[in-house]
Amino acid sequence: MNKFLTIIVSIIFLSFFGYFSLYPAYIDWQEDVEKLEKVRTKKETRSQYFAELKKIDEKLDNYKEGINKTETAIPASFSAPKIYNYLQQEAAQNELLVQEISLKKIKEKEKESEKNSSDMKENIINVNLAGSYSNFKKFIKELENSVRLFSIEGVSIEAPKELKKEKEEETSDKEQIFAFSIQLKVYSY
Amino acid sequence: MAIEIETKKRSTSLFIEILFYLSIILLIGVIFSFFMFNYLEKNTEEEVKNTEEEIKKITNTEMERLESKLNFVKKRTDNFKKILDAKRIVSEAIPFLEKICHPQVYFSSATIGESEENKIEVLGKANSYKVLEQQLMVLRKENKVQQFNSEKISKSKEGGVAFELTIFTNSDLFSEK
Repeated sequence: MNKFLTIIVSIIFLSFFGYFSLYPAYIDWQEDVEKLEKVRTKKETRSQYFAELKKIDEKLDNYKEGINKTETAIPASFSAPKIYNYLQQEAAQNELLVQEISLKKIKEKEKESEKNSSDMKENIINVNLAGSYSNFKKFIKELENSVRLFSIEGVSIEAPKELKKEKEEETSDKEQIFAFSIQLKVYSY
Repeated sequence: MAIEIETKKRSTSLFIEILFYLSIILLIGVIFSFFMFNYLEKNTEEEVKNTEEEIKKITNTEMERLESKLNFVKKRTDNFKKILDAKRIVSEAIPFLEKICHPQVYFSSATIGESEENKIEVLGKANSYKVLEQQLMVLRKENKVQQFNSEKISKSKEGGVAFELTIFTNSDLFSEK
């Protein structure tokens, strides 16, 4: 009778304990195993990603010169005096006289096109120059090929009033003083 | 009859006996499993924590530095490329104007691309209406000219014919060679 009672009690205990304790403990363990799997996969992915980043970084070391060039082309900040000085020097080298340099407007590209997620700033600079036509052509070529990135938005050329268009005078024409105006776009961050 | 009852009693008691030991074994097994699951759960939790710590270590230090460095370089090179792709070589318009200028026409002023891309505005003077017509013929034949308008044609006081030209060129004129 005692044994029979033990069996009954055992069955009842096993049923309750199994359902309310053992099964939840098993489920919790299974959940943790799944979580561990996920975390391990995440760690692996991260490690792979990190290794990839390191590889890219090492590769970039071979292109340091080019990267430095982009930093010169689009500097971290805009400095009007620095650009004015550069333009004046370039003009002087090409025997051109800078009559006026002015900052036309500043617009943040970020505001203009947030979609592009570009935080570049664009500045428009107007430069009025005087000098010979041939020197101006050299100057504009130099600006276009300059390490500091300039986009020439517009150019205006005004011939001297006294200049007469006659074919035979072409060489002397070039020595006459023309008025030039350039609209430049410069970029910075 | 008495023997039959005796056999039934024996088989019942054997069944109870087996069931009894089975239930004891099951009981021990279940209790052991319960502690084992708890132990495994704790171990797994610990491992999850450790792995998460390791991930944090990787992410927090060098990876963030590398990520921001590479993003910075990428942003710069992307912007640089974008600007270069869109860059117009305005200086190309100067030899173009020299090329299309008729020998007996004089351009006194030229404005290139200021108000509109690919637009060139020219003020000039021709020796005669005939020369001006020849100048317009040159423009018509030039394949880099998309369209042009000749405006304000008038006799000049100093002689000759003054005119204004608006030329719309193909965009490839301003693209790098």
